[in-house]
Amino acid sequence: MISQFFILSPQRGDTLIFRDYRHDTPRDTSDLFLDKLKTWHKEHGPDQDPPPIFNVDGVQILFTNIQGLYFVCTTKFNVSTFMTFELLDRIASLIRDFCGILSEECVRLNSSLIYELLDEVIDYGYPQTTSTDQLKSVIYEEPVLAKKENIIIDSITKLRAHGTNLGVSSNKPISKPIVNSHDEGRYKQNEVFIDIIERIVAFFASDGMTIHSEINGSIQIKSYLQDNSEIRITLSSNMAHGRDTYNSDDRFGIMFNDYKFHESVDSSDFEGHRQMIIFPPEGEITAMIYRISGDNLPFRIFPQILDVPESPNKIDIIIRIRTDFPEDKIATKCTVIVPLPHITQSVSNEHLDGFADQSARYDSRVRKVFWTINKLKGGTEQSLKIKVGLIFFWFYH
Amino acid sequence: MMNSDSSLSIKDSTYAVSTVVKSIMTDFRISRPNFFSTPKKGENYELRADLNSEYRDRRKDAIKKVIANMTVGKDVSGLFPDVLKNMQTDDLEQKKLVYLYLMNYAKTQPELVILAVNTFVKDTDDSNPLIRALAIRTMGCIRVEKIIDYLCEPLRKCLRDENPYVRKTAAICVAKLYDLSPNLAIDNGFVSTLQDMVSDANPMVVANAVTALAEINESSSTKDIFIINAPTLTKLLVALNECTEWGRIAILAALAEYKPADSKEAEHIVERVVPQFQHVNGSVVLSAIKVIMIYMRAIKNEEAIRQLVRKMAPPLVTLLASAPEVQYVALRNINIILQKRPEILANEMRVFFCKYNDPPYVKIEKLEIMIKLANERNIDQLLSELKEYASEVDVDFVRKSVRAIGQCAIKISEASERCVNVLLDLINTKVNYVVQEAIVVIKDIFRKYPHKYEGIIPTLCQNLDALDEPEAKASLIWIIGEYAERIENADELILTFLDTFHDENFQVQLQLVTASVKLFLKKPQSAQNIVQRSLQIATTECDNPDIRDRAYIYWRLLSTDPQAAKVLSWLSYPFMIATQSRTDFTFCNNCLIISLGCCSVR
Repeated sequence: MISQFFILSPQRGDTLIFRDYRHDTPRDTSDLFLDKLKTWHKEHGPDQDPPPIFNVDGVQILFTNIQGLYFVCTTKFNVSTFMTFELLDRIASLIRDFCGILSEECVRLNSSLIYELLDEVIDYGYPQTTSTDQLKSVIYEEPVLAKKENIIIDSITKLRAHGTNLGVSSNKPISKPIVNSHDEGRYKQNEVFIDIIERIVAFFASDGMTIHSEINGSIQIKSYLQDNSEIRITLSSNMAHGRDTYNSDDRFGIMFNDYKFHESVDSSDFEGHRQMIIFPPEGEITAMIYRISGDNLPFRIFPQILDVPESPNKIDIIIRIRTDFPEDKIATKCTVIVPLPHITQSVSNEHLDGFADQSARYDSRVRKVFWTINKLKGGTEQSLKIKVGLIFFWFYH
Repeated sequence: MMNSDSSLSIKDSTYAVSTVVKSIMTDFRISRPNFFSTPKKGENYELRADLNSEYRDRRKDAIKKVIANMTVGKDVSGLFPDVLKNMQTDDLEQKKLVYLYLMNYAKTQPELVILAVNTFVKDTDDSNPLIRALAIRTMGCIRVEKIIDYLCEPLRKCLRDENPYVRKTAAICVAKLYDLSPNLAIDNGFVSTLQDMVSDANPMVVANAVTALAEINESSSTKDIFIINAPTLTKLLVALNECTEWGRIAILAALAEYKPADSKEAEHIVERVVPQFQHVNGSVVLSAIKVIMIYMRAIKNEEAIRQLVRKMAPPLVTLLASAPEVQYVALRNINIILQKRPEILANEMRVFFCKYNDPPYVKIEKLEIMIKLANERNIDQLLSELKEYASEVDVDFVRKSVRAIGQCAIKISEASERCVNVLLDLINTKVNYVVQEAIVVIKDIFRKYPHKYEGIIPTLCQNLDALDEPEAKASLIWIIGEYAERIENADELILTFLDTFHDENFQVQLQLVTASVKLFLKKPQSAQNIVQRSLQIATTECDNPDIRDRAYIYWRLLSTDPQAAKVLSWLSYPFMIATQSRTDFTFCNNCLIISLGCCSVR
């Protein structure tokens, strides 16, 4: 099972937390890991991380990068890699629950609390429990809150985290820690926050036709409720569940391909009335994960490549976006990334519609055009013309 | 002053002992060379003062600082006795911190840890179950030989404790003890107690007992420690639904080792495991899938197997919707699952299309899976997708995509014509590495479908100049030799290669010799001097013994009996099976059995 667990901060190579469970791997594994990280960043640039599992001298190292901190596990056994990554994620969200936010400063200030957590969560390398509810009653330390300024910086880092684009949210990210059950004196508010986060992945062919699209969604609940009160969530009624992907018929509503629930959710009534009954434990849980595939896409993209007749080394690329959602809805902070061929020499952009609320810039290092539209209304079309100058070659035929 | 009597007995009072220890430590410090002692001495000196202060808060802060220093790697082992003094306290926070310190430094200061044993043993009798569990957990982590004897009695008590939290901690402690001293664990009856605990009422205890037994079983020589029989099976299945996700993983791992007695039992267990597919934790889902895959071998009912296969597909696909690292692990596991049962994801080809921002290791994995899933229904989709990939920037990925097109052509005979057309389009792009890779692939297609696509040979021959890689050249030469009767200027082409015979790679030289012989047999008049020249060069001027021997054989054969040589060259080639990277069959099975763990990712 897991031999060691540590949290590293890559800026100065500091070990923030180190815990050895089985004493069968050498103490300097954190240095080995840092070496590997440094050599990889030198070769491939600071944005790319090395593969998440690698082997150094017979020791397997598994790690993830969460909010800029590296959560690393080492083991000598053939552990289930999925389980280990899930565990690393859980530990990160436990720290978030107990300390308010996850940041380097916060980890430094609360190291003894985190050690207490790690003691309870992993015993002899085996994960025991990661439920905030159960841990609340056995953790005695008080969290030390980080200073206010840092919260804003941390929320910006959170926005840049992989895969999540929180867009424009009027609320700051929730940064209150959950309160210990031993501390009676503090005033508690009964609050619960529910977020629905969806990611659409779509594949378009070069003529604009959709090949495949999929929506991956999750319902996250962060609860500060005093006692385990019951929450009922009912989804709108025109939904069906079909595991057969060929029979998705969008006229009759939304067809789930697959869904999964958290342990504390009673989903016996879901098939019948789309209702979930939850007794949310304190802290953050993912109540439901679902997947929907279908053709209902909010955007359609039509690219066109035209030759400029007078100059053989210039081409025009016209990108047209058509929005297919209702007119009263607005999509915010859309970015379209257009990769250009490696023989590109010069790029100039021209907006074909008069809206001022968009900008396009070319980044010559990665050879991509970034077109940002701040507000995209439903039922409209936007276009961008990119004039590309290519390096001129003579071809012998 | 040196204390002559340095043997320590547990029965000494704590205060006396600590002064004795302190003096030993002082002496030890004098004899050690101090190079950079000034700053360190100051810090440790301050901490020592704080640890001995009369104010509780200052002592507690000092302990926290000590722990912080320990994390960073600074040596605070000299403060051992001072930290030890703070162990007896009512404050649970402080106790935990001291225990943490002890666990870390126990190995380096085993004699001093003995002093702590008294407090540990006392704590295992404390009225607060948290303290009891904390004590037994910490005692198990201190891997010092001398402690073991003191561990047995408290462990025995805790295994039968009325509080399940304490029991579950004690269960893991048995595994720790077994690691240190297996005989002691067995002789004291701990292992048998553990086996009884599998039937405990509390699911957490069951899960930990299962975990501990699994580990002990793994390291034991006889492998008979943990055997599941019918009543334990029922208990396990009940606990499966009630314990936390991590416990479920342990129980599922144990179920995977169990061999069901017959098909009915297998079906029954499978029925109880299938609801685990709905769990939000991906590793629970993966463990459940592993169990089902292993049990499917025992189930005879075809209809039941079909149902199971259908149920397995959606959870596997959902596993892919995560961060790239986890995606990579999921893909590797899916690869292995598909080798055993490709029908599971037969309809889900589109899910594996590569996204533009996938890291290269993910893309290559997805490509391999897509080839496994190719069939007549989805081949068109796949081909257009592969064609797009062949125009990407990453050279390695492009090569693999072109090879994938070839593999599809060989795998699905109805689609071979379309594949060949796509390959021709790719050759017309004139991109160097694409053309070369395409020619290698076309050679394989010709081997599988002889004489079917001869019309494309002129196009291939036009690209002769572009070839510089040995594999590509060898492939083209083979094609020229094989279809020499269709190619007008086959002799000229072979001659061009012969001019540079000595610079060529070994496989190119070999192919040249064979091709020239074939050419001669098909067109005796025009190729006479070619074959003579090539055999001449190969036998006299070539360093490689294999090529020389082959050339000699051909020469002898041609000189004695040209008709026999004809038969030799025109033997039909053995039917080609699809060449794909596939892990060995037994390894694949074992992967499933051991775990879908790290070894499957490498």
